[in-house]
Amino acid sequence: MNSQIQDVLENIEKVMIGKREVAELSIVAMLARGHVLLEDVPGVGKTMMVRALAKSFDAQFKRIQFTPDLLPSDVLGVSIYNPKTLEFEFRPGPIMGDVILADEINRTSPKTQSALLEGMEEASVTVDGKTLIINQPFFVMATQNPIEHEGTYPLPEAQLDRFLLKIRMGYPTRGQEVEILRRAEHGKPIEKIESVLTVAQLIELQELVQGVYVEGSVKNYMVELATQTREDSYVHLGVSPRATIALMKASQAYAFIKGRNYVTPDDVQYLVPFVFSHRLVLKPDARYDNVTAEEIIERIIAKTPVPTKRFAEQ
Amino acid sequence: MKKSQGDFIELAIAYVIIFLILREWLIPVMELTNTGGLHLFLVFIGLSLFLSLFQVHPFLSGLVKFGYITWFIVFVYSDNPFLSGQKLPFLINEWKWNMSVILSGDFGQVSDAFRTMLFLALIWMLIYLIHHWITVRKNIFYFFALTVFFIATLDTFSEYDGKVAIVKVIVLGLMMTGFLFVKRLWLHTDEPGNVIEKWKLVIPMIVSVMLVSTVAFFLPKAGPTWADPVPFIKGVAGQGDLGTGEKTVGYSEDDSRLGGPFQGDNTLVFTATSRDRHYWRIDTKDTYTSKGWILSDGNFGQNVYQNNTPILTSLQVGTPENVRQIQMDIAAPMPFLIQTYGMLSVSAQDSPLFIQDGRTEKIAIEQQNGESKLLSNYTIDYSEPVYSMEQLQTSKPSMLGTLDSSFDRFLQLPNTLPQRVGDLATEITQDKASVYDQIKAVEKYFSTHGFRYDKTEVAIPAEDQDYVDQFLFDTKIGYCDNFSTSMVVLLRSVGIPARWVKGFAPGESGPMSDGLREYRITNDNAHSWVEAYVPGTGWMEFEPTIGFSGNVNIDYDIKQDTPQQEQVLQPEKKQEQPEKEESAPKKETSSKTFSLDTVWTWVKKLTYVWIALGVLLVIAGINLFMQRKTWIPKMQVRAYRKKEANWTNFDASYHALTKQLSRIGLRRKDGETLRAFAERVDASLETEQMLKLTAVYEQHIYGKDKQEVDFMKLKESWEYLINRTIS
Repeated sequence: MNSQIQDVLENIEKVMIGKREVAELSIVAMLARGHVLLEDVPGVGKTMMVRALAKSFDAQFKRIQFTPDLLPSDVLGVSIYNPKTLEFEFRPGPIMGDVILADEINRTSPKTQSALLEGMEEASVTVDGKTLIINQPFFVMATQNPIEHEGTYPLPEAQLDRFLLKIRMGYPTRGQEVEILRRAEHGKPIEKIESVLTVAQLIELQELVQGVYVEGSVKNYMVELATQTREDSYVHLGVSPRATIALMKASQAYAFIKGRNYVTPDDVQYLVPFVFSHRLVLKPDARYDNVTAEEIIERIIAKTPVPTKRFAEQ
Repeated sequence: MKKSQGDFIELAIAYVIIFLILREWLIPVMELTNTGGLHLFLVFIGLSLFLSLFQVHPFLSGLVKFGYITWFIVFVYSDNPFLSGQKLPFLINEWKWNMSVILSGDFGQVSDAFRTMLFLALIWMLIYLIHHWITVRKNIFYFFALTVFFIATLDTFSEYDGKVAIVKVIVLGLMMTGFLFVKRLWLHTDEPGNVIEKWKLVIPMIVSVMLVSTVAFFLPKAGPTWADPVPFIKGVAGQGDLGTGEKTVGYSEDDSRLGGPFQGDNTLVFTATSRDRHYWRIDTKDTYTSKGWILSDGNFGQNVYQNNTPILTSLQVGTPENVRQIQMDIAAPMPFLIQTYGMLSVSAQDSPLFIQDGRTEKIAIEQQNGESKLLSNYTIDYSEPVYSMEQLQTSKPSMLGTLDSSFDRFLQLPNTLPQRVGDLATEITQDKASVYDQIKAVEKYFSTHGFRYDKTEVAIPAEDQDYVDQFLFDTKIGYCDNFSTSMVVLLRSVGIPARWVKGFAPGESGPMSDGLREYRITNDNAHSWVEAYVPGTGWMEFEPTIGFSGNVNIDYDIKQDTPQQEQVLQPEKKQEQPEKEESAPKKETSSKTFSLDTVWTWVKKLTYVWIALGVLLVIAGINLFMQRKTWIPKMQVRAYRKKEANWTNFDASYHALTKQLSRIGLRRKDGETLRAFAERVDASLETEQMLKLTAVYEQHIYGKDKQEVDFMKLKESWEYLINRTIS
């Protein structure tokens, strides 16, 4: 385990109880310059997680609460006429931060959603004909309520593809919840934590992650897994090559966190559900047969042969 | 500490069972070889197991065992008390004698003491092996299976009755295997602490063993479903009818019906202390009836001798300078003399009379008043005759025609003798220049024409069969009577006077002391051979029986015209071939002496035996294949040990390991990563080595750069894992 990341995880654990995996995956996305979609009911600590993460990296934290009446300019920023200078001045919106929490993203209109998602993918925004680059680190953690809830605009497939990982938070266990109560008894623990790494260090780590080696056979393995999703009988639309890239990037970051400079099939297997499940469009049959995307992926992993030789030797 | 104590108790239980099984081995061996002192051997086994159990330092343990063996030998075979100073020379003498015997290849001559020592050494080795089996392999099955097989075989093929022993051994074996199984069960249970739980695992084993043994003891033992396989096998081999009753070996008077098997009997008859090895002559017979030997009619008179008066026989004696003495101690006194070749005179206490029968040259012992007397001690003066080869060669076949009528009874043959016997005799002897060579040709005939020595598989001639004809042409299997009678008949067929001699073979010799050696002659040594008349020289003894060497001194003299008596200056060393005594004659049945024809009939008759052999081979092959998970890795370990430590070989060895793991049921699934598999393997084999190996292997195949690794350590882990998969 990489020691710097270990520090960050321990820092987060001071406020987040029993959510080490979520924290780890969030860092994976952060290091891979990707974004995370957190799908869960309100109140399980999504905001707390993002704030703790931002604080640990000493990063600027911004939060956008999506509502049905939110406009794209509320996200991206707006040019305002300055009478003194006789010019329009650009007031950057909340997207121009380091760590952004986009809360309840499926409550807003598709227009506003796409404004955010395009910014996420391109790492730049275009307002009034001017293109503004969003500086790294740029990490969006979007949350959505489970789509069955009333008054929601489900994210289209193309938009979902822009999230590196989809993570579920889940309820804490009884013991964990008691511990949460104990800590919340006297004041807010989030205010007590301090930063462990700087933004500059985070960017440095992102550079290192890109250097993690992915052996040819492992790349093949990833492609094989992606291909399998396209051929599955329950799947209407398999994952795109973008998903395969995402899988590789995430695997590199995960391997780096685990202190390795090469990716193993174990990394890939661990990450596939988080990378692929939200990108699969299932046929209606799957719903009738009560098959979930996670189950399909599990089956694909079980049947795809793991490479046990170097690519050149195969 | 507690665990090791538990181990010790387990081992102790195992050893007790082993001791009991070994006892079952020993009993039949002792019984069949007529060895006494079972308890002394058992003490040795107990001692060895005890030392092994407490893991006494090998040197100390060896010393103790060696000490016991020495004590054993001195106690049993020497009259001297153990602590007297005389045991050392005794042991040294024993050692010297046996070494010389072994070096000369004369294995039959080793003394009992030496044999006992070897037997104890064998037990010693056996116990070492068993210790290894139990503690390292934790599997004693083969030993157990061998025990059952051994006892079953003995029960079938010998007079040993293994009914009870089999049940005992099975019960012991069940206990043993059950016990070892429970031990393995304990090893694999994760919960270390709970003793009661562990013991619960043992209960089914104890109950089933008790149940099985109780039932086995009380069940009625069915008779054999198959007929006794021994005659059956012989019937297959085409050896004809066997006699109904078995004879016991030994000297007996009635030889009118020869043939049939006989049992061994190693009762001591007499001991003789002598410098030389002798054939012990008692009696001769002259009339062959086609079934056996009887005496001819007619009056031949008697000669009466006293102590130390020269006894005259038809045989030769040596020169007066070479007169030596034999001290005879008769265990079962007989009313006649045991003679030897070159006998000059006899002396005994109480001045008995020695009455020589002119017909048979058998010498009866009588008291002065004419009643027969049993002598337990007497001394024979003798001078070994030495025959001149040159003179023997002068015996031309034509000289046989000039013999007088007193030789007629030694040329007698029954009218019913088949023609082919005579034809064979002519064929054997026709090219020989001298009578002596003719006799020698007949004597050697048996060892080169597929004849086999055997005491049990010997046929009795049917009513219309001739004893010699049957042996020469049909069975070719027999013992001394067959060989000697056949030789006499063959010689007579070509006009050479010959007679049938009965007595004892030289017997088993002990170590030499003061130039003398003690020969022990038992009933097993009872023997018969041939005396033939060589014109110009006289009666000589010949030994046709396979596995026996005669005792004739021949002087291979170069042409000299001096009389025979003066030629004999330095008696040559006896013409002794490496010889085995009658006590171990079965080893003589070497297939070398089989003629091709016999072999072919065997092959044809035993078609289904070959089929069975083929089936066995196939089974062995299948077994080898099924057992590949145990022998392949062993070979691999050996192979990889020699190989250089580099990445390529590491690769190969890793794959070999995964293959071996899949053989024992730990198969990596397609979608299973190496690491997940390694974790599973480690959990199943209770190691951590697989993960260590896999981490390195992973890095090797998925990583970018090869890193420095300690191959020796990896090799150790690898070997450990491979060995884990076997045990």
